[in-house]
Amino acid sequence: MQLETEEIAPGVTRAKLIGRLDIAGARAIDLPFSVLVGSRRALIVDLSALEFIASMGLRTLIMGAHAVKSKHGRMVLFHPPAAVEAVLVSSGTDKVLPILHDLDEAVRAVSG
Amino acid sequence: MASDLPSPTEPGPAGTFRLRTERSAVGLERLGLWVDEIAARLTLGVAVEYALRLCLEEAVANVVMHGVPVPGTDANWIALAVEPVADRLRLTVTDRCAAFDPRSAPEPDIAGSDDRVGGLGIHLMRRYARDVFYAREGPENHLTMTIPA
Repeated sequence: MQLETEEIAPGVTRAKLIGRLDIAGARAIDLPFSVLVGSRRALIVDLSALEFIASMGLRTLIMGAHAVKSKHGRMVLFHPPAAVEAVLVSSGTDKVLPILHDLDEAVRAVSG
Repeated sequence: MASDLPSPTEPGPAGTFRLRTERSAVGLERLGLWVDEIAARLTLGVAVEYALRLCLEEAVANVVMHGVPVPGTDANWIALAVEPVADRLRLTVTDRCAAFDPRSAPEPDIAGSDDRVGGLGIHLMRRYARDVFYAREGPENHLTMTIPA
């Protein structure tokens, strides 16, 4: 499991999750992801290279959303594969974390 | 006891895949590799492999994180079986922790302000498995799920 970050617009960070966000994956990225959500107010979590997500991965994302929201920041999910998006929708995660498939729209959503 | 079970990478009699693994993070990592092996051997489609991986991971994670050992009982392992049956896969997860029916877990409330997010695992198992059955047989919990193949 890998986490890559880049600033794609002024004040806007894209965090790309690569691999499987299963329990082992969640353990691998929990600390760097916690640091990230604790230090960014405009965060796009790029899921386009995420192969799998289960409840522990959802927990990582949801707690990240709470952390960003507590600082009056914004966080969205970007372009998950269909199988991953199905889990996000089935679990209701999309109700606390918007899922967007257009990058410009995602940048606008977190920049607002 | 592990010696009376087939190798983790070999299907047992009647095509059933079996794995006996540690009730720990190591066991969870071994589970992931085992699912890789089953998916390759059965040439599972992407959606079926996803459902298989998700249901097994959620069930095993629940036992690893929440299972309560019973004094005098060896609860340090989890036994798994995946059996192709007609148009579906039958998954069985067996452990020797205290009796617990994961179907009794409350529905998740992820929108709350509380950072604790629980109940997602069983919610996803119900979503991805056609059936989820639980039985307590002697000292063992048996969780059985079927997923369309």
